[in-house]
Amino acid sequence: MKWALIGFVQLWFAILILAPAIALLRAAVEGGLGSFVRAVSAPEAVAAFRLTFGVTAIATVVNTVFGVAIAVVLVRHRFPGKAIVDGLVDLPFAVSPIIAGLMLVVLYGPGSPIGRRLAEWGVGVVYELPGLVLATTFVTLPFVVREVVPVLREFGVDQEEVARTLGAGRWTTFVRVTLPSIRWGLAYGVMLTISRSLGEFGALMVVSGNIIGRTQTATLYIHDEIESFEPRGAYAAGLALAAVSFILMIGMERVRARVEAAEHGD
Amino acid sequence: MGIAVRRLTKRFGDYRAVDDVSFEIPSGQLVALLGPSGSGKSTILRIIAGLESADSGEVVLTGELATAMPVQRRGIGFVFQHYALFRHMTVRQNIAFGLEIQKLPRPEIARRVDELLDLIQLTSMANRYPTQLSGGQRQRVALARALAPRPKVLLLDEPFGALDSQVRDELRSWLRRLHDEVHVTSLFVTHDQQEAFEVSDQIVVLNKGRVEQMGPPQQLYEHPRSDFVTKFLGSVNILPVDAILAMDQDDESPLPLDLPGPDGSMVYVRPHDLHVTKQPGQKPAWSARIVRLTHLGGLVRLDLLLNQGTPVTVQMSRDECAQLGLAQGDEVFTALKDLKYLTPAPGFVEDYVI
Amino acid sequence: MERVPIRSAGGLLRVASLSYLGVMIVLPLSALAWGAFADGLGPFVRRISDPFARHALFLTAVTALIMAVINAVTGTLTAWVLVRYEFPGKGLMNALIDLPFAVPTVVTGVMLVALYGPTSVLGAILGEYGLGVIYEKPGIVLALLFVGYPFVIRSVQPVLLEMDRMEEEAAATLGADGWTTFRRVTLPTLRPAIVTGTALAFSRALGEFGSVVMVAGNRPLETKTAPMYIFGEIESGNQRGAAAVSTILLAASLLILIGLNILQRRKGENRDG
Repeated sequence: MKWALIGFVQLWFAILILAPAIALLRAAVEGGLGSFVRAVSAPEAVAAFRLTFGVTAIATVVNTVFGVAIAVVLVRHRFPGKAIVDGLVDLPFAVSPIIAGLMLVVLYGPGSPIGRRLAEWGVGVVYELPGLVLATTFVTLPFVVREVVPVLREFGVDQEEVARTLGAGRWTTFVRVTLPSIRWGLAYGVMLTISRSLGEFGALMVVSGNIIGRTQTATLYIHDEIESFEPRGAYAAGLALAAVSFILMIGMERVRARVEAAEHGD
Repeated sequence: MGIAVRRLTKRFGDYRAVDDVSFEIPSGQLVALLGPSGSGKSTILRIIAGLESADSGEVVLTGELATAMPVQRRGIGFVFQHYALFRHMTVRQNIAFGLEIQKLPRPEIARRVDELLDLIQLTSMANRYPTQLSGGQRQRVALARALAPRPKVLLLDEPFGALDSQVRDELRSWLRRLHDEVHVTSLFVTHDQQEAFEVSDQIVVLNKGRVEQMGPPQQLYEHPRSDFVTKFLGSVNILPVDAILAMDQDDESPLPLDLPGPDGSMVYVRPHDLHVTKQPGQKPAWSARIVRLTHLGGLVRLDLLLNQGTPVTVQMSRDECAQLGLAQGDEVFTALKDLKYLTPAPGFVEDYVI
Repeated sequence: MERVPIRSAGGLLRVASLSYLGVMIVLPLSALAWGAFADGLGPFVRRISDPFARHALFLTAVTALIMAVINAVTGTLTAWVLVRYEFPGKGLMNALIDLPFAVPTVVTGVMLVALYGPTSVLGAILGEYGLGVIYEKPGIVLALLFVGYPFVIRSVQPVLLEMDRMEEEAAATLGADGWTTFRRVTLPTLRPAIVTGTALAFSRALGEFGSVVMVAGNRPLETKTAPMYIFGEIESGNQRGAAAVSTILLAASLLILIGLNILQRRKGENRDG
């Protein structure tokens, strides 16, 4: 009986998870490794990946800085409506990426007052790079906050107070006492942010407008290639993107162990 | 025969948790498995229950060979140290569980549950959840649950270990009374010597995975057969014979001069087996000084220092102490009432009559 | 418990953080609400009652539900096997459980196309038997199953790991066999975790787009899910219609998350004795 269960579970896993992964692997390197390399180094592909990394970098930096700030405010400050703020931070998790994109288009698109004013100043949001950054930043907003808050809570105010009695100013205390104590939670949150940013698709589809020749991130490139009748590029780029995310995930496992150690009292 | 185990052995790697253990428990008795931590007592209990399996040996329950039987079919009742009540079920549902497994008709289950609730005196708590009960109440429910399906044998794993000492005392006498009513062959594990004495008909003393000795409590106390049992079942003074004999003067030693055995032998004297008097009496006695006098409720403990330098502990009743008018610092005389004698090899204890 | 420092300063920090949240979250949310209701309640109702919209919402709900139920069962079984048994390949499997979290949704879609698409071996065979996967409803469920795979497992695993085996042993001493013990003792303890994991997977599936759009084939009234419908309306310039349907979807997700929150809090009050 026990082995029947194990067998079923493994079979289910193999069919559902392994088989598609292996299929992608095979499709990507069909025609040889050289063909794979060529597909991945195609100029559109390279440009797409470069754009993805750029957008990811910006979104990550912004959400790291503000994420830590929000976490500090949530844990260390007292003010009315904290529960609402907490809920707002979690909102992007409940929102489908398509809806996220829609929100931004309604808010900043050429038809909206803000959009029109921005256009006067020559700043395009939707269909342009800023839109991609905004969408990605929105979607990844909660990660750093949610990973830092519990660690910050566990860490306790005492050490910060000690630092201040020893004469450290607020910034010094933050940099030399608070930050090191939350570093593993922060690292994990950052990695989650990066991983999610790399893979964002739905919101970008909406925000970038489904036009040929539009600015393509890696995910958009993959989508466009599949739609074309030469999906080879899609498989290759898909494999590359998945590989990067996968390596990131392995790194995250290592960091998560550290986070758990930090949360359970150091 | 209620429970019999034959040559049980269990190893964890190189470590012998249970080492060739055999004993028999007569039907209807309440027996304690007593020993320090690591003596293997819980492991033996769980092997009897079928929750663990031995590497070799046999388990026989009410005459049936049970070694290969899965735990579900052994007809045992088991009470865990931490109750293990089903947290998502009420008291009533907990007790009914074993009966439902037996597929008894509903009215009969209800009747039996009510019967048991009455036995453990928790009828008013029937619809509460375990988290709403005190530790003592939970343990009573655990017992009722184990007894409900009328098991052939009842096994208890340090049942009172998790309770406050006062609750523990109450439950001990309660368990004894319950057993007198129900008469199920019962085996319980404990590391508390006092508990074993209070509750059981017989005690199996275990040490490092082996049976040291088995018998009724008082017999074990009066006639221990090994160094371990002597020391484990109550405090004892251990006197090196040679050193004492060498320092006694005038052939006037309280120790019998005809003690057999080579050098290095020890004498065991229980604290209540020593007389203390202010004046020397008829029998030979040691001179000593009362270094410390401690009142322990109805008893008094005297820490004496014999004039040869050996420390000795004496225990007497409060009344006797008051009668003798003893105080800390007094010079007194102490003589032996009884002793046990241990030969260094092979190392078992002999009774010695004075 | 956290002690809040006496200083009331750090005002700049608070202003900056709250402004950030305001711009990034509140503003877009308001824009959506405005887009949905700006024309009034009547048009709103009309837009969400549109047969294409209704079908899309219905399809989304049904496929998400099917996926949730399947995942509840297989996820619990998988967590059980991973925690209680040793077997070859266990370490590798445990590490790969989170693969769907790491893989971008587009790539998930690509994987499924590679495996079941009409040009693949498997796809061709299945096609012969009339068992289409890609561009048919099964494809949608398959994509959702992939994406939702880790939720129940990772929710149940820690509870199983921490579980006190003694209740199960007690049930065994009372005569219960393996299945009865699982059903009457283990499962009730696991129920909250299973519900949480399933609800999270369901909520995620409601909004899933990247993988579904690849495998679904875009046939309205057949295989067009709600997110796809919303996307289609945006493309056709019908932002208001898209906003209306989005509101429904968003409300559903929010209700689930709030419900989970309430359950967590109530569980915290009840069980601790």
